[in-house]
Amino acid sequence: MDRTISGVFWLLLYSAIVMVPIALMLVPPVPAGRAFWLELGVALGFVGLTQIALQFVLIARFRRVTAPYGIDVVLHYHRQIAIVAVAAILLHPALIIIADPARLRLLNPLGGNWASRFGLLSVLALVATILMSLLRERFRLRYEYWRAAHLGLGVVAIVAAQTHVSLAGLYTNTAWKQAIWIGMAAVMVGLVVMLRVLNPILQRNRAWRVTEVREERGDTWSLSLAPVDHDGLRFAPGQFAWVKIADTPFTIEEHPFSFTSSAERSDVVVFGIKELGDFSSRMSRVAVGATAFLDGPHGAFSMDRYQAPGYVFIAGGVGITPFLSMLKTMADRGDPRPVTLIYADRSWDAVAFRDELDVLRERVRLEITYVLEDPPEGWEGEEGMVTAEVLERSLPRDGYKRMYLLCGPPPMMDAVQSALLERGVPRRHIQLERFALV
Amino acid sequence: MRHLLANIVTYSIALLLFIGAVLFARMRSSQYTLTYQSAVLAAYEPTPGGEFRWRQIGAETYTRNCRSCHSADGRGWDEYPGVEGADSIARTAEGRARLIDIHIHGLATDGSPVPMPGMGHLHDVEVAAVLNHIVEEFGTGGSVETFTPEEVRRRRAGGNDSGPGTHPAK
Repeated sequence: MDRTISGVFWLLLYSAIVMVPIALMLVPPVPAGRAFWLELGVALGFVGLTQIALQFVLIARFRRVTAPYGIDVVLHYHRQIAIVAVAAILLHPALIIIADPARLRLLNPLGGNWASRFGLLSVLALVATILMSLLRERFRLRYEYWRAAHLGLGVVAIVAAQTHVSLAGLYTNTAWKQAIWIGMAAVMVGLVVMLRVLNPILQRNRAWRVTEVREERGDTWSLSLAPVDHDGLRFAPGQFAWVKIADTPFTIEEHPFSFTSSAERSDVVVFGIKELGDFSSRMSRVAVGATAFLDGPHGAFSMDRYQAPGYVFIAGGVGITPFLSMLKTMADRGDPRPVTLIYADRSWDAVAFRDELDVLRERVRLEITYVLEDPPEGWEGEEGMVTAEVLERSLPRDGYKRMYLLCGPPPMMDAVQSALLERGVPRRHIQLERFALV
Repeated sequence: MRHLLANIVTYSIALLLFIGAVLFARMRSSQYTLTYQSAVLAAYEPTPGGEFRWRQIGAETYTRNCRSCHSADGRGWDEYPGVEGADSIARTAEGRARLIDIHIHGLATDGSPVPMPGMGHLHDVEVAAVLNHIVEEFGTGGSVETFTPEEVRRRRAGGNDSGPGTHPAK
């Protein structure tokens, strides 16, 4: 209930802040009102700017703010609302020029004035940011480069937009209005400094040491870290952390990985990492004894959050990692609740952690169904995809309500979710982890 | 479940943004807001034989609508021209007509990269008052005949010889 209250609180606060610029623009002295479309253009510019500014709060990883929703949902929202905000910002010059075509000359960076030039710069930075994010995978842009550019362009966009507002000055016609707007932009740039400079400074006192790098089946690695002169961290099984492996926490190279170790152990934490390119493909070169830094725990995908008398875990590929942590935690806690695990992967040799799962079967009331796309000869288990028929054969027939936790590639989760809904599983009993964060 | 709620919230906030912007534009364009309303301004119309009390309105109209470009001292800044020479133009009938036209219809010239927006949405009282303010505050001294709302009204209604697009500036 606490979580619901704080979730609603932050949402209401957010909605209120979104409307602040419009309220502020109506506080006298205000310029005489002009034609509808012109004023609409101005208003869209202001609400668009506020939205862009709020994005800096969303990405700053405030755990209190993101915890009620889960940071994956917050980032999902970030991607969608940023596009809405840029659409509003593009309409801003469009409507203003339509209102008086003589203003077309403001689009020429050599014409116009400094107000229009900064506006233009801001729009270009925003469009570049969006295009880079949408096309990053198609152009195989390296994650680190994209990330540095994304942050840099974001800062350019908000500073240029704020300069544009201050210079144009029509609705910031008093010193205190100027101060509020400039203050807002300054706070947002400050958040970036916090995330990229202050947080690393704090992380410096909480370093971790690599104690083991183990290759698992299916191009998956287990990375074990032990705290260096601090008490480690506590997480809920199923959560993840951003991991940096470097001598200094000031590196831009940072990736989110799920914990696979038991949440009841704080002397060592283990992450499950699938080789997918970029950073994770270099796991084999990480040396024992190397230094690492963590930002976490984050994420809302945990059995502790969704209490039920029993669980069904459905994993696709590396999506097994949060479940491994949950099962180990259950074993350490002596949790007697039954779990059915449906684990889909390419081939029997690619099924990561299956030895560990065998051991866990001894300690947890665990039923496992493996579903292989490309089964070996003589395989008698399930093959193909996790279809309604596979679910029919593998799901438990007990009379009580289990919680269904799904983690895997998005198409698989969508298909399994609709199959479950068709079977009459209520939607609130199905929880998904969309771990494609970026 | 979380993702479904997140999508609903996203669409609601996007909608809220656009509704807010539309409401704002509606209020501003209808002059509902805290700016002068015609009724208030009409009270400043000079009675026959009476004096036009333009000083306060002129100063406020300048602050709200002109100052951000032409600056507090009327000298302009960056690409925005100053308005100091207005009093010399206001000494001839054509000059006065031209000043009123520029305020109502705006001005775009090849000489300046930034067009002056039309201020036709201002009330006649505001246009006359701000012209007097500019002439007196930023002029070089010497007497200029006071602009009256009636003069602006005549120009707006009967200025067929120089409507939008045909005014002397072009």
